[in-house]
Amino acid sequence: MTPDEQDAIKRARRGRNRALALVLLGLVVLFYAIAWAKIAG
Amino acid sequence: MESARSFSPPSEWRDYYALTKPRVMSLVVFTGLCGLLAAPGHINPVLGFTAVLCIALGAGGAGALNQWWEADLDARMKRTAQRPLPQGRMRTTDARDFGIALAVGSVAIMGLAVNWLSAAVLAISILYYAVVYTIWLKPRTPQNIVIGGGAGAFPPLIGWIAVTGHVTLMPVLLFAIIFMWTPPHFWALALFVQSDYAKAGIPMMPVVAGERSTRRQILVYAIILLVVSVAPWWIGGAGAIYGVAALALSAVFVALCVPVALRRTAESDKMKPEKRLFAYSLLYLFALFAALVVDHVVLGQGIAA
Repeated sequence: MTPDEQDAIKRARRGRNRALALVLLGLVVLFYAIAWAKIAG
Repeated sequence: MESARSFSPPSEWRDYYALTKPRVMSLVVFTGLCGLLAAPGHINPVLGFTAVLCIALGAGGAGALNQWWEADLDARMKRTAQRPLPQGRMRTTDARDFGIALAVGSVAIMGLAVNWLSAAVLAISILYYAVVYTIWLKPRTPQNIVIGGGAGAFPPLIGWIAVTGHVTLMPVLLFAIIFMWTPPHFWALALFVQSDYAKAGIPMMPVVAGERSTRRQILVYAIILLVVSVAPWWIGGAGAIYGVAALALSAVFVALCVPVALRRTAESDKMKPEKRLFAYSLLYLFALFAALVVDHVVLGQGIAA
């Protein structure tokens, strides 16, 4: 594998990890908001 | 040199995003939201948002499963050959697992946060699209578009049930409207886009039944659509604002279908009537559902017919 290809793999992995972090963070916020809505309702 | 040739670029988050068919999702979100807003009763805005999110995620999961199953087919057609799986940017099992995760996750969140009836209908809609349509019927019958339309017709039904918690005639009529709208919408496109469905072995209506029959069926569905679209007004589920809008919008739809039904493709045909019908069909659906929501907000028509 060439250095360029290794870079491409690292870049893609970093991007996927960031997207996954955002999704998880979004779920945390969503569940928190749902819990409040359920308690209030 | 050899390693460079066998190197396939790793999948990026954009590839996963593409698996969810984002353009289809915009229509799903819109009609789901309209079903939710037009339903009688009240839903907490956070839970309403969650319901629409789950509808979108469920549709995304079904889209991913569809692309997982049809990877070979997509590779043979120009329109779909650029998708992540035919391009080899992603492992097929990853696409399958991603689709299943979205489907299961969306149904679970819908059930826990909103209600289990809307979660059950969401699960049915995903299974319907991914299994009944994609795996079973699409490769087997030229009525595949009619059947596939059923999958696209679920969102307003689910949005409505998210609010009311039960199924009545009104949300079923919303389902029927999209069900009847899909064939003329898609076949208009199929008439003017030189598709390679035939090459890929999918029995699309214009290929199997011929162009004349397809054109005639477009008009038949448009006439049924006119009746179904006005029905919410007749049964008292929607008010005059919706009724008049539905009548006017559907009358134009039928009027645009007439020239499509009566003509035949000539040599080097520009296919103007078909293109006009396709463009209008998109506008039609957005305008019709927007009218339903406006009617509900302005007239406060909250009869759960």
